[in-house]
Amino acid sequence: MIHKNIKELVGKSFPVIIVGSGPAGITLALSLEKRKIDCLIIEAGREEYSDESQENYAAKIIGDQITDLRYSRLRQLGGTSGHWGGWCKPIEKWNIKKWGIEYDSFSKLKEQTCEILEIENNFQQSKISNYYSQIQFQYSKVRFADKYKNHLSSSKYIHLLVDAQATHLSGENKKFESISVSQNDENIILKSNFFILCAGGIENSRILLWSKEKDNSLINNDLPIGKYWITHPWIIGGIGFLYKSKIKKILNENFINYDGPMHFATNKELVNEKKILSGAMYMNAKEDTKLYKEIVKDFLCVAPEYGKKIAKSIFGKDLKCGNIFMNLEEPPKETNKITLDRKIIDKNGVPITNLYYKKSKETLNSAKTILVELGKLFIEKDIGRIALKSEIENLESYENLGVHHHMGGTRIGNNFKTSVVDSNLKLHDLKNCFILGSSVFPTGGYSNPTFSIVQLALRLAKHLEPQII
Amino acid sequence: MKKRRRNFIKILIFKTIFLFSLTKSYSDNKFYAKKILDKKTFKKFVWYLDKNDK
Repeated sequence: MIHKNIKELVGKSFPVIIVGSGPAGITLALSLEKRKIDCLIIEAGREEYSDESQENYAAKIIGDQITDLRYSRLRQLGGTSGHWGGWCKPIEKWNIKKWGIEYDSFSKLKEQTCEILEIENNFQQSKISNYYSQIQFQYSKVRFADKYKNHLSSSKYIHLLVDAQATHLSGENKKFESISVSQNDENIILKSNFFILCAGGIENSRILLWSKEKDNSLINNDLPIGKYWITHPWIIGGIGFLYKSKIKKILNENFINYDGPMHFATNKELVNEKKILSGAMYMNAKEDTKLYKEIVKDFLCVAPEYGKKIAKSIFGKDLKCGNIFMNLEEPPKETNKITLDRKIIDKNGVPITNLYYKKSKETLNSAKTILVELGKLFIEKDIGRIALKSEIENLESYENLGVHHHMGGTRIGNNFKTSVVDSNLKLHDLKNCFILGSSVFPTGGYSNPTFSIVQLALRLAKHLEPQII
Repeated sequence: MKKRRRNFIKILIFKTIFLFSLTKSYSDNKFYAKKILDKKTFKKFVWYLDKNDK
């Protein structure tokens, strides 16, 4: 059932209250529904996109500038899945190990996650060398609002409150008892036994920080709420060309042939041996034939004889040529953090977010090493040739094309000083509050986060169900 | 006698480690010398090339 007015819910309580109706919140609610567990989802945005609602996502970015937080996420039913890129891939086993959660509890939910995202459970990974693999993404077209709106409005067990902002949690004796909700200058308090924050990589921290400011005695002061915020820098590392047939020859039957650009990723051997962070790459220029020609022309000036060979095959499908796009991992740093602004508040009286962000030298260094080693591999196996942007070659800087993945701030761990939730996503030191979404990622790897978010939601549902029933 | 044998084994282990470390750096050098990259900068891009790329 969908509620548009908070007055409809005055005096009501629910076994579970979920804040946020993105992939995390909806997946969790649907899983609980299967066990006939009632829940309320509180969505700050409306059923459809609105500029007015987006304005409530205004935030200050202090340090290196990144994509405006009003545009990199969506405040509406379905959350940011309303405009996501759709690229899906499970995070690697060796990256999950860093999270301190059991890989099996995560990987066994792959098939179910693929059903939700309507993609094939096929994520082949073929080793080209000790350092690199060709990897496979699946592309999901699911928009959670479109897919589940009718179901949510007719569900007996799921109540959805839209256009209402959950501002803060209150309680006592290490337990939250209620949540304050605001809508058009009206406030109500809703009670529940379990509170699950699924409001995204910024808002989860913001709600906790504001709850802490409202009542300093409830949340442990040691917890680094808002800290260790990370993203995936998305950059153009250079340009290059490669012969698809040569990669096919190396990989034989393991060659991954699918529509879209060819993706490569670093293996753990490269990450461990060179002490760098992981990254994924793809080469793309199909949409820009001018760039295609430019690169061949440039290469003719650099190596004329080899260049002539390339120029001859420019119209063939075998030659792939273009920018080298990279999705990079970032090191979690305490100084990259979310705090509350001291002066500006939103329309419901909650301080806006201040996001402190600085690009890291480790990421720049990793980008260079990844490209240099790739360049060596291309020469050694005669796959093609690549060129690094001179600012990366000289370790000066990199330019973020866009920052859309918001991770960290309420990370998983055992140590109260470096983490906020335990491996079951329960807020440390509190009995009945769980945090779900990319905000719990302690590290980001290179894979897009949504697949892992849905996996985490299914995993949390399994953990919660026996406690609720 | 036992002490001599132990000393001999110790020296043998240290020598082996030492020689291995040499071999590794030697092979690295050899790799770079053979596959070496010729770098050429053109229009703000640094191309990684084989020495035989003409």
